Amino acid sequence: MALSEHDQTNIRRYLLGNLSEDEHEKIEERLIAEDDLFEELEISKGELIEEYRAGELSQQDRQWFEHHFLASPDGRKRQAFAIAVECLGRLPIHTEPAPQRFTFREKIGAFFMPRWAVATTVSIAAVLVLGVVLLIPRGPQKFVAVNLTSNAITRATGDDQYTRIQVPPDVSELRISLALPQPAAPGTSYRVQLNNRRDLQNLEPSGHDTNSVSVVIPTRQVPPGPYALTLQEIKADGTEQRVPTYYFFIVQ
Amino acid sequence: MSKGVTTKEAFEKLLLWLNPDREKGGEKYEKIRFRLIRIFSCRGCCDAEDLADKAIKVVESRIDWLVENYKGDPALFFYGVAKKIYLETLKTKPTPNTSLLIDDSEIEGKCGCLEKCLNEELTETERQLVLRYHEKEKTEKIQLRKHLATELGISQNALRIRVHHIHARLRPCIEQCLQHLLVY
Repeated sequence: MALSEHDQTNIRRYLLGNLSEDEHEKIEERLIAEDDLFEELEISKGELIEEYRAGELSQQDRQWFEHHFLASPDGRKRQAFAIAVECLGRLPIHTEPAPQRFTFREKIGAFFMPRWAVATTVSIAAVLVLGVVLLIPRGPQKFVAVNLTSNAITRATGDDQYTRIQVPPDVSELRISLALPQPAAPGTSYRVQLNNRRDLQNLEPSGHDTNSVSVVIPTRQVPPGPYALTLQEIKADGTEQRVPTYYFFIVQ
Repeated sequence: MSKGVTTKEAFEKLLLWLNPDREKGGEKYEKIRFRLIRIFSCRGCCDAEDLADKAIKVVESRIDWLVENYKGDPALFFYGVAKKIYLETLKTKPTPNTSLLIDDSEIEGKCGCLEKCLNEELTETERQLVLRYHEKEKTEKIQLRKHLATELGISQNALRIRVHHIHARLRPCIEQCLQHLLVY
């Protein structure tokens, strides 16, 4: 039996407790027998979970959903899956030609393009300035210092929203300062992980103050490509909290 | 059910009642069981599997009568029994434990494992589709999905069905990554 728009609406109403008892029973009788309607149920669960997580459900619908479907083992699994997919949705969408797009002329041209987000433009400017000022030849230890922030623009997916870090071949260290979204309380320590889209690597912070956490990464560990640094805040009482992720793209 | 009929015999009769081909009967049995579990879940039952099995046991206990007398889709009889069992549980239903909410950061910490699932379970095209489908939020998300459907030359409904099938393939691997969070 082909589904109508009415069926899709009713499935939503079913999941949100907005059907009469009679309608409720009729739809469950159909769910047990009709493959298409059952598939619509499974699809709608995922979509409602998205809306639930985005705060788009009414108070009443939200409460019903929490106390019914989300309270079940299936609901919990589906919610965990939705969070996992959101996490994956924030990963960069890698396209093969990406490294080739960034010719010197394009980088300079892009720097002056007015459509780039201000935060990203400022980030690139900061990198270029710091890279020039701090690229001091002190024997073998050359480094590039970068300040990274995490905000809605830098966390948006798509390569052109990530902070670009140009690493000359003779530089051995990347020294990154991660700006904290709010000042750290006394006694707070941090754990840092580098995600290179293949695995996670724990990094030891090289220092921190009230407003930032520093980490040093040998450049051999960050060949050209996208990266994410995740910061876990460990408070004095032992509780932990995740700080939003910092994204950057290494270019040569 | 007549005395002396074992559970195994009753089960075999049940499968044949569902379909004269035993294998197809088994498939129908699994489908009905799965849907009963889902229906109980939608009603908020924490023990959906146990309740579904209880309903099946009741049907099994009446198999001789059903074979002789019942006319109609067997699935609907299962549902009728399940409905009665659900009403019984309402008398003793515990308050839902919403403190078992999921900690986002625990899942985000597993991003490497999740990404591995994406790379191992899906083709590159499917991977790109799923990542793009979940890229934006709110109104931007709606626009993006319309745009995706147009790009692919399919309706928005067909797109959501396609993504649903990809999710179904991804789900076992992701649940494996998160199994420590899904213990009850």
